[in-house]
Amino acid sequence: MDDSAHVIAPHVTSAGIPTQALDAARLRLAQLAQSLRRLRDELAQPRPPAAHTLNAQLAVAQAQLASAAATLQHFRSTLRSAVAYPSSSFPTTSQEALLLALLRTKRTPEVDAALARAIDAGSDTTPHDDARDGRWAVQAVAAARALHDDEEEEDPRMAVPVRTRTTTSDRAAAEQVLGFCFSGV
Amino acid sequence: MENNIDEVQGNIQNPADDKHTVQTSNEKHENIELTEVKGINLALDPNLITLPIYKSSNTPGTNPNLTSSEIEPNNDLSNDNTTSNTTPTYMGESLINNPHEIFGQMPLTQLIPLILKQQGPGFRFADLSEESLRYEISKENMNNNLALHIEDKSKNINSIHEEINSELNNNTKIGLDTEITSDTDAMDIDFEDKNVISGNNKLEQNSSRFHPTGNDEDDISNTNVEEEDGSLLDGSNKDDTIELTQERFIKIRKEMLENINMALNETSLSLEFVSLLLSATRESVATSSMSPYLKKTVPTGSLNSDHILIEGKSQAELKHLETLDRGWKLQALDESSEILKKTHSKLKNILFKEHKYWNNLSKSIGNKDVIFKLRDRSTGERYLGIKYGYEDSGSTYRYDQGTARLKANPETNRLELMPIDRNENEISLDSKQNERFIRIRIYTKIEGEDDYILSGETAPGKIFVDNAEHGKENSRDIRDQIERLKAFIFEQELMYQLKRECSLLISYGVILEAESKIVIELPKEKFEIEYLKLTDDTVINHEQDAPRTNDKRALLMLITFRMLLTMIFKKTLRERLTSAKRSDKLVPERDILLIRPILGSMRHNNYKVLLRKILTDNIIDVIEGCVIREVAVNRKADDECIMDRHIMKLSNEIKSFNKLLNTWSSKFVINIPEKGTFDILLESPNYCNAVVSIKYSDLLSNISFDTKFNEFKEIEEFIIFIVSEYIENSENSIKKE
Repeated sequence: MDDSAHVIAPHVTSAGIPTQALDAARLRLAQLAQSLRRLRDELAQPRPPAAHTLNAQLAVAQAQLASAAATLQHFRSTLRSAVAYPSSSFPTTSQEALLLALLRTKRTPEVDAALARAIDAGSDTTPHDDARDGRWAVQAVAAARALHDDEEEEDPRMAVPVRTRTTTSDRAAAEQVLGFCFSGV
Repeated sequence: MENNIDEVQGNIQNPADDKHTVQTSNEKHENIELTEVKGINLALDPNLITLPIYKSSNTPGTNPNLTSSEIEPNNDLSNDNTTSNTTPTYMGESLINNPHEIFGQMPLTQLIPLILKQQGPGFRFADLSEESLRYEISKENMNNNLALHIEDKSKNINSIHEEINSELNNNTKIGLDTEITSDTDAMDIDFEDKNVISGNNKLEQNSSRFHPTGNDEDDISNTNVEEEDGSLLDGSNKDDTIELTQERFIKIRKEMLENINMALNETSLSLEFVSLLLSATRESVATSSMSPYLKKTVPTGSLNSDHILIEGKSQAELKHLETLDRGWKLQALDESSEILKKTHSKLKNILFKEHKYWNNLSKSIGNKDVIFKLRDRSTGERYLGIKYGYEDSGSTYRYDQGTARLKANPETNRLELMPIDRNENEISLDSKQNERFIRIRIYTKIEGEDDYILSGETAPGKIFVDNAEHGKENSRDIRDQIERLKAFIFEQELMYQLKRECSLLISYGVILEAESKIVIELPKEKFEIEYLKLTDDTVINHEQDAPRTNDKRALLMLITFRMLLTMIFKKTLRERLTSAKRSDKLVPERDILLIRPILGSMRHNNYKVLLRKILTDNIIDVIEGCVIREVAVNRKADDECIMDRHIMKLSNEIKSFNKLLNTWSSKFVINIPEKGTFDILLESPNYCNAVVSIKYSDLLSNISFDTKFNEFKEIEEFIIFIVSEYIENSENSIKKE
């Protein structure tokens, strides 16, 4: 442990455990795991579910993920300052691999790759100005839409032929119909 | 040091370029775009992304189990670079936390769990071995395939590949290890990704020179897509025009499952960790979300944590985060715009197709057609059906519903009709099965022999011939198809009704010879009505036959049959309009008048000839001065009180066929001078038989005889009797007097 770190509880107590934050995170993670498991089970069926079912399930999983992320973000200062370590009751020798897995902080290669790409994409740009970016985006979208509208008008494939095929071959005038109905003539 | 960096960068950049060029130079342009578009789900779940660089470390050329001696020097090199360039904190922490280093030095028994951890950390412990093994194998296979392809393409790539991989591995390792020192992290990853980007750029330039021409390229592009993008959408992104084959679907699903499993494993591991840590304070709650394995292996409350003071983020860290933010936002925007673009073009295509479909529909389908919605029973797919049968026109035939499915052929983008089987409500497999028509053949008896000679036959009408098979322009026009189907179902019903009527006429020489052949025998002629397939041997190759004498007669007979069937329809319609009682079943004796009117007219003529001969032989030739004349038979006009003009129209149309539809009757009048009159009425009450009533009256209109006969022999004897007893006797008696 670093010298600068201020140890709140020098003795082995549970006082250092951020219970509230952990409980909140536990709940969200459990939900996320649940929905992911369901998604996986549905997908693994020999006859996969309909696309919209799958989409809905995916959306649920995404919402759970966002919720979990938000919870972690909410407790970030607490969680950042907490350092977990195995207490003496942990079977360190027999379950070393498990301990390593549980206490792992290294990101998976996939996450790192994603981060790398994001940083690469962001490194060439100037810092944001949300208002300016927003204006630009609105203009860009409007321009694109204008272009799109023009394009649509010019597309000859979509030309709708004018058809007046509403007349019947043997037109019965309303009077005739009414006359027949009432007088039978 | 600066030079050093440049050198290293150059070193990596070039091989990277080459690698990408080789891997992807034969790809289509879309694939290149794809690599830039990849990772749509990135913003949502980074776990769903796999990066090629990591996987490529599994290629045969390189070994994931790099020895520490291999790793160390490289690490040193890059460490030197990075530390010299940026933060000094790097040296202190990076190597301590580096699992790869541990992993390199570890004995094999400890290495295995780490390999698993590296591949998909957070495996659910319960099914650790099975799942992980499966994924490892599949991943390795893919990578091996790719490597093989690359080997095929160029041999010296492998060495470059090795170099790149070792370099890249090291770089990424450094990147991974320096989570805390974010500046070096950023630098490393930037550094590495620029290689990829520059590779891509070069690739774009190169790709214009290459054109995909073979299967090899496809394979490569596929594996590449997998390698570079494990995201869910890569399949659909790759090329929208490619059909989603079963194989491809399975592959995509496998990838999705892998990614979801990875996410699930990560989540489960986090959950286990959180639960175990929480179990120190809230045991009951925490154990509820722990896996059985963890509960069994580790006592609760065996993790603890303490608070430490944390320093605020450094300027560099904040800057790094900002870059990350921006990068993510930009990526998300790019991806969204790409998705929008793709969706737009996709929608446009769909719109175009739909537009064409409905346009075609409105062109070919008029307001006289019956269109209805249908739903496929098995697939639940909706489509439009069209009724081409004659049910609305008065047909009562129910063995074929006469409905077809209007379907747009995705290849030709034209409308097609597929008749629906009545029983299965599915498309019949043999659509040609019902493509049959009626042919009439006339055989004339050879004089003095007991044999017949074919003297006339009808050819299949032009409407039955499938124009499409002759490659005519616009042959697939839906209107033609409808007309054709209409023609076929009409023939089908005509044959059906003919057969029904046929059962009544066995005593008049009408025989149902086979399932689809009716023979009408007359003394000198024989008619064959056959229901044949278009492909029948006797139909094909007879177009050039010389015309026969009775061809026209056969054709007229067929036309008459058809017109009589429409008369049946019209009668049914009239009945529906005029009577409240709906009976959709035709009674053969009363309703089906197809053969009988025609046969009746022929038989009646024969009877007339016979009767005339009898009369001539026994009266005209015997008594002088006799005159025979045929008198028109007056029928009572039907006194119908028709209210509705539609019914009137129908009745008028039916009436115009009265001559054919009414039973035949002829009347002869023979005046015997100074004696009396013969009134002879020949009738055919059931069209085919002959009932002759003979009336003899004297000059004072005293009726001496009024008798009916069914036998011509009796008629002859009777006439002889009257002539001898009354006319000649009276003559004799006059002479005697």
